[in-house]
Amino acid sequence: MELDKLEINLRRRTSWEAIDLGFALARRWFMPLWLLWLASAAPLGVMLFLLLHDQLWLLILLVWWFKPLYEPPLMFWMSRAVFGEQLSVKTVLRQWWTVVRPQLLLNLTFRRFNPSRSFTLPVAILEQLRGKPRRDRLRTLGKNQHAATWLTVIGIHLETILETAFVAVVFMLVPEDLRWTNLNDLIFAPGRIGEWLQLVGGLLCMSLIAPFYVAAGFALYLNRRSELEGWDIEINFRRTSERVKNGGTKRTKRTGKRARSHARNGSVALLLVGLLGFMLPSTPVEAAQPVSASDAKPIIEKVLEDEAFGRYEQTQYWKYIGKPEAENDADNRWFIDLLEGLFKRLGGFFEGTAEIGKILIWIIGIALVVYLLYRVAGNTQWFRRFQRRPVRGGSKQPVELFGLDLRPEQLPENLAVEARRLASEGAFREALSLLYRGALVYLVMQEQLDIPVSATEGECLELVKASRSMGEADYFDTLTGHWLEMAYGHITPEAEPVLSLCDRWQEVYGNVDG
Amino acid sequence: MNDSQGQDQLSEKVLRKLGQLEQEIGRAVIGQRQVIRDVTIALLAGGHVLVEGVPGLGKTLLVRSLAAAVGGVFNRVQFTPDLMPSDISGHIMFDRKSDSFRVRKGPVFCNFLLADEINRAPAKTQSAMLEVMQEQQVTIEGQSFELNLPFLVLATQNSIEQEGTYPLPQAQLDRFLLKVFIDYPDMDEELQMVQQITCDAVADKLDVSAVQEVLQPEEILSLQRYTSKLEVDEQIIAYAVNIVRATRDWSGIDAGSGPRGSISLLRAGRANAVLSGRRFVTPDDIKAVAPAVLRHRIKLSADLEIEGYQPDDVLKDILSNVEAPRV
Repeated sequence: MELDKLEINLRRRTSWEAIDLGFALARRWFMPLWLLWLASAAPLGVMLFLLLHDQLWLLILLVWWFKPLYEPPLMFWMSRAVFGEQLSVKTVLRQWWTVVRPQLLLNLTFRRFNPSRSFTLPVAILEQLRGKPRRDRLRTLGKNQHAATWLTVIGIHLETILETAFVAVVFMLVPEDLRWTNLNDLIFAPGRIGEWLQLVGGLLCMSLIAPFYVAAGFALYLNRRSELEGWDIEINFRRTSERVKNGGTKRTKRTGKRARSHARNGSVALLLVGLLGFMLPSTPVEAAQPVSASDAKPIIEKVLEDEAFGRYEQTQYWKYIGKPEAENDADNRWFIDLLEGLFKRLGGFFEGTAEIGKILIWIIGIALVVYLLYRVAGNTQWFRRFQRRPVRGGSKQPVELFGLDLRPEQLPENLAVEARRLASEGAFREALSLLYRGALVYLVMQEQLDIPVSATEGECLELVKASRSMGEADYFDTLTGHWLEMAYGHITPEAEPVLSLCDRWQEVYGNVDG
Repeated sequence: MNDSQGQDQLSEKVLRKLGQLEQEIGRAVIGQRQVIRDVTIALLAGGHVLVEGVPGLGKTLLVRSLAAAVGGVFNRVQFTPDLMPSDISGHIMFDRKSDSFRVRKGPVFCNFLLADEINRAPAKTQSAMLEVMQEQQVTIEGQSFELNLPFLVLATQNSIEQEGTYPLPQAQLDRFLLKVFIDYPDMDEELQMVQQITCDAVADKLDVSAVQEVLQPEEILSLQRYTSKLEVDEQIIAYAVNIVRATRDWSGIDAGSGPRGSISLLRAGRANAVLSGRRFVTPDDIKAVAPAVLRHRIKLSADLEIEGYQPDDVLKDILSNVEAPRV
């Protein structure tokens, strides 16, 4: 790791400042980062589309789920870029699988819902630690680091807002005459077009947010390492050393004493850098000669004797030196003691059971995810309800028209025979109703004829005439005529035409499948 | 012979003539089939028609043809800003010869009245006219005079040139059974019309000589009675009411139709069924007449009006959303 080449100015930063730094990096290198994200996401999206173009909700869910697959290339590119090596997108793509592969399965499953994903990703991708070393490393890095979680929370919100805004803008740009639905339905109960809009909007927003998310996570990681491993100090020492070296050759004898002093400081700095470098787990030592600890101690003491070190300050402050007023405390002491005892016992209890609690929380979490997956799988019918185009090939959706139950399973097995039986018993209304219902079931379920709920019998007839064969239209015309007379005119038909309709039903419509 | 048999015979005999009525009117009025159908519906239902369209589309010819085909008396009143109620209903005048007061009946005493550009007369005259339409009688100097039945008013409005007009208030519009748009004929119809009218014609005089009298006014009255007794299933009544009630809650409509809208829907639906040769009303009858019955009974919100929406656009939405009857 060549800290000299670091492109960012390392200094002690709070986590929020580190996130700011990440955003600045993302703005600076947005295009390559965005292209890298798209280069990973777009092929997967196309592949999923080919497989799941009928189930857009699943497509959207999978594209979102696979986010950890698109982020490692961005992290990899940035890890090089911050040290001045800006790789081309092609170069990264050539190593794509090598970059993405480490712990991919875990990243896509157990760690998918890790709220500090962007912060922990470098440990898996760059340091390539796994198992216990990874956990130890994360424990060290993640101590008092909550900003990464907040980064994820804010990222989710921003993504949602952007996506909603995208759909709303597109909706607003549609001329009012052409609007087929309202904005509320488009967002919460989207039809086919709405789902497409959400898919496109979702992809676009994910691609816009991802560079910022990854960069901010990486900046948090760098900041934390810099804090733990003193990179900023090392860099400053190196710079000082460089300056001293250069200054030493140029200065005149008049400033010799001062220069010597600096040189001494410089050698000390190099020494310290060596020590720090030695302590860094992944930083190769390259700046100074190795010095043993026993040798270093006198050197350090000698250095500290220099007038540049050690400073005396005189400060003044107020301190109470009287006797403490114990009257009230004595009265309340028993209560404080009680609380202390209680907390100690509670603390002890939880100390002992923390591990069990942790396991329980994991079990609950896994059970919750499994339950949600089960619900999603069970409710695919519910999702399909929002698709405008009926699914061809024998869907079992309940259909109702004119108050008639059009579900095939509600029809008798041999409809024509049943209708004939009813007609021969004089139940003409029931017989005609059965025939008419059967015809509609056939048209709606098997011929996919789109009959709106507001369609009258006359309009149904028009639809049949427009889309079906002459013979079928003739039959339906006759049937509708008899049905209308019976239903609205209360005119009981002759037995013969009804029986004839029963006989012809089978040859016109055959069997109605479920 | 019982009542129903008598009614059946009446319908079979008269229905044949009724079919011819539209054909006869069509001999003089080329094209405009929907307008002819709507006017015939109003005649059968005993209602009145408000016709909207630009001048020169054959409104007068339509009413004259109707009068000729039914053998009724036709009158026309051109509404102007200075028209007085007595100019329509009539007045009492002193007759020097007989040395007594004599009632001079106005043009309203006829079977078919064309109230041309009704919105050009002031509100006082308009309301007098509309009162006559509702009551079907005229009171002159305390004396009531029954109008000759059938009585059908065909009032026209010009959709352009709105300056100096007195738009009919919603309450008065409600008294018209139907509002009909008369539009320009298509190319073929206009060719046929121009050829037919200019052939052997010296001036602008409207020629209804081709129209033969197919029905007598008494037969029209019988048909009106027959129409009013036509059987209507409860589901159909519910359907009509649902449509009208939907206009009250529909977004984009400031004021929906009142119960008179439902009543008119059924009356017009019955007439449509008779004209279609049926003895019962179907949902299609209601749906077919709904735009003409309801378009003048709803008031669109300012937003929709500014955006150029017409009542028919909203009614189309309503009709495609109200569920057809459940039987």
